[in-house]
Amino acid sequence: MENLFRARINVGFFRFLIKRNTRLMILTTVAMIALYPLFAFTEFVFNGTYSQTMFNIGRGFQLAVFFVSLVIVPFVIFSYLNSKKSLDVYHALPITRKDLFLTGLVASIVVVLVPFLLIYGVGWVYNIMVVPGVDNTRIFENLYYSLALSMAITLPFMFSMMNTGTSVDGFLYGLIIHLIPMIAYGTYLVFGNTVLLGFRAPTNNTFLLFTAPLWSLFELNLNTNLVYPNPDLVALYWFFMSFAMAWLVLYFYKIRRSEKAETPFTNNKFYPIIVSMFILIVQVFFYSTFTLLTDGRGLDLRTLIFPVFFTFVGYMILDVIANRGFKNFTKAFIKFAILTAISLTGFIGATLTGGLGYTNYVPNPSNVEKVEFLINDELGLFSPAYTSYIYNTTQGILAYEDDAEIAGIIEFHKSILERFDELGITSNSYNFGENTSITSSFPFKLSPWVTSQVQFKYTHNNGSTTLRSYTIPVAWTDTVLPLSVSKPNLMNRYPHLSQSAKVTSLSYTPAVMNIKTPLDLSKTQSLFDTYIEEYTRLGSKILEGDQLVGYILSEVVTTNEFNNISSQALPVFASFTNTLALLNPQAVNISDSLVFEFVRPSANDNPAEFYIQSFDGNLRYWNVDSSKEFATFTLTGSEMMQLLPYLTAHHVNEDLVGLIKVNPQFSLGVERQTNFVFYSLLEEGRDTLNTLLNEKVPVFKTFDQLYFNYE
Amino acid sequence: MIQLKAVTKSFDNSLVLDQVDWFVRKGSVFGLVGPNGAGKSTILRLISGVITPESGVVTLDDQPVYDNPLAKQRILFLSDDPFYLHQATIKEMKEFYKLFYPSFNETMYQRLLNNFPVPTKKKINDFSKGMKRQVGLILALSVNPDVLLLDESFDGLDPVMRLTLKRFIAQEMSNREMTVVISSHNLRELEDICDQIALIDNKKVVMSGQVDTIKEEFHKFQVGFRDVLDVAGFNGLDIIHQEQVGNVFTLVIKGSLDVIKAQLESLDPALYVELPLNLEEIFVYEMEARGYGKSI
Repeated sequence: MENLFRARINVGFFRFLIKRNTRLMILTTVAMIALYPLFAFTEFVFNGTYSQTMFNIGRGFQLAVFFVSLVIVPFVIFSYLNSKKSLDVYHALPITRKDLFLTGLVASIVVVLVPFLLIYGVGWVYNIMVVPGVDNTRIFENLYYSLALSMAITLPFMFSMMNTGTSVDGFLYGLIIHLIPMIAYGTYLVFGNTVLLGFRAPTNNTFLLFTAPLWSLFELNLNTNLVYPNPDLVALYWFFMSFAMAWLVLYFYKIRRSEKAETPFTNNKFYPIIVSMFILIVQVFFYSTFTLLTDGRGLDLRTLIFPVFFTFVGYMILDVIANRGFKNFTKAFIKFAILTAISLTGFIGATLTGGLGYTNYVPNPSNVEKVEFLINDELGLFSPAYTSYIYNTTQGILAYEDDAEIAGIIEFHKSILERFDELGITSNSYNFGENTSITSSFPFKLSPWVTSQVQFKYTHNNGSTTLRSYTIPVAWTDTVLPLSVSKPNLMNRYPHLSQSAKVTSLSYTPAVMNIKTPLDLSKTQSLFDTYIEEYTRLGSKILEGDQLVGYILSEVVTTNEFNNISSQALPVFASFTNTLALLNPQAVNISDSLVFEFVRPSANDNPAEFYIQSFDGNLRYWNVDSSKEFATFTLTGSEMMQLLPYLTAHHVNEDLVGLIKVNPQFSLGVERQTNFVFYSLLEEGRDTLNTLLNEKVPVFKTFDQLYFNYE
Repeated sequence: MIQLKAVTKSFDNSLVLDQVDWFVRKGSVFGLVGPNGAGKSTILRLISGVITPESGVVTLDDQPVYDNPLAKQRILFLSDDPFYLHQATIKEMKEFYKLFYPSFNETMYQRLLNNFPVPTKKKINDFSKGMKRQVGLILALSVNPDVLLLDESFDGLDPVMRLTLKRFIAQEMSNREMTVVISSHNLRELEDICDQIALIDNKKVVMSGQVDTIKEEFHKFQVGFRDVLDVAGFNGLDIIHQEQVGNVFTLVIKGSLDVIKAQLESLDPALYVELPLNLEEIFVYEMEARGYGKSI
């Protein structure tokens, strides 16, 4: 690095280079101006409006031209490297190699940046003139990203030039070096998803942002939603990384063998290292992809023969380019055979050993400090019934630090692995829909394709973490069903019960939601404490069915960044006696003018389809056949009064009696898909219901009519 | 002045120079000769700092040359195929050289241009091969280097141009003791201009010294005998070339003239003539003696 910082720019030579490349700068300027501001401005002139789409396309083009310039210009400035007779002049000049390199590098960057900055300026002026409420911060952030990344884009090509003797080879291997991190990451994802049962792909592309400057250039400039990792820091990282890269390139420049110019490689180790790495990665990528395409059939000839064939063709093409002919064919074939043997051994070994024990690993409870557990289930048992943009990615993660609870989660983890083992599933690429032998003690029968994403994040005593993620049939969550009514789940589902949200108003409504009674806000904490205590104490008994009495409604302002959670509805069950004592509800009186509906499942209906478990009354329904009709019966207020003791929610029952549809008389304010609330009836209410429905004629409604009151 | 100490250089595991020691004193015009691929150009590239030896050092006045701008400022290397910037005119090339060589002499440049007219506005790459070399020599001489390295640079020049340039070089040498190293296959030309010569063969400098001294070391005789001669009579002579037609021998012998003469005369030849020997012949016979081209 010292060499790099001791290098000096030869000002005279720098000026000379800039002068000689003026035409190239003009050409780049014209290309950029045509593809960026002019592109968008033409749209404005013809249509009289500003088109964000056109502007974005223009920006994409502009970045592409910027990238192409960063690739081409160093090849122009350092073209002398690839000619013996030009090297005789340049390297005989009285200037040190490091000064010659630095002057060339800075000249390259300037030749690229002058047109870019010029066009950026024009684009900015256009924005100010045409775009309403122009985001100057964003514009200058983008400029900063592009400038910070410019050297990191160009240096891999220069690195390639320092190891090759012709422009074609320099470009080809420079491109490969740029692509390697992206292909490696893609391989990691496909390999993990295909071979490693329990593998969870990262939710962002942090790896690529820090390893692939080309990816970073486009991601930082075009992805306006990138929050983590901080894009400003990523750009800064690349800026500093550029110095390390420049130092490396300078090192290879200093040892570059001038006499080998015009031959494909000036460094004999360069081609074998780069190409072997590239081919190995591509082979594993193809093995994994083909395994994925065969629906998790695992290792068979088809998953291996085609990748070997395709990469063989690729390797031979590279070899022919490297050797300028077929003279090295036999050697190349042997080398390819060795590479294939290595990749196959690695891939087959990783597959047969479950990623060297990765897939079967379950931590010992005594080594675990904390478990963060997440189930994204379609039934909404563990996650909020209606998820929308208001919920962040951590919503629904249940954290357990209690030893017994940790042990319970680990047992659940083990049970999942055992069930996978029973079915012979070894990879994530498995379609449960094809499997009919899924066993479960879940309260009602679920189709195998009703799946749930389960995630375990173990924090070990030494601070390290283990993350596993599985897609499992919801039926397999039977053993952890009680967790759906556990305190962590409750606190997660209703953030206002914790300190993270501030309650601004509090009221109570009976289950039929005909009136809303304000509650004393000063008693919020004691009310919530009592509620949490009772809920935790009752635990899984809630699942057995309890009369739903009413709801505590809260207007909420959260104290975290998700402050758009406006209100929450806490269900109050009959067994919550202490809570009810604090609420002191008045007797329910329903006017006969209010109309309710009862929905009766047909004999063919799967109870799961009618399952109402959400505390906020959402109907969880899937696989809706729009033509399917449901038998509905109208109920008066007095009839509803008779059914009140049998209303329930979050009730898991194989023999569903039916649904009661309630039309709330005030806005719940809770994010929901429908204005209506649906409850299920307890088995005990079946006789009363039958008496009420006696002689009533059903009206048949489609799901949309039922759910949204569509005509 | 220029010194190569135990210099070894190889290309792709093929040894080109092996422990070469060589010295060029200031103000001399050194001719570098040797068969194709002997390493003449490699030596020039090593002296100019284009390449670096695997082992050993190349110095100019005891200063290493490689990556040393101070030393390289005093050296100008003109390769056998001169390079010019893409689309450049001689004026642009002059500006290019002026950037790096403070010694660039504008007056000399103009003088050379007047003597060797070259279209200044035309792109050099459109010039003929000879014109390109001419441009190279104009620029090289304008740089005013202390050491001028010419790699077969006279080849392709017309005889008048060649002669004029030689005069220029001779003038520069006498005016400011410029050192010139010229590699060429044209030994007659080297003989005209060089005061010293080195022969490169088998990865080493096998012969190096004053042209006159070298020439004094080789002698050519034609001797004939009345009777069949027992060739054992030549024993003790360092004969590097021998031809025989009947009883007449043509011999190229290395060594002291007096000793050779004495031995030949002692054989009582009927015909005894000392023939003139030029540098090219010496080179050819010496290389032949070393096995070069003998099999053909």
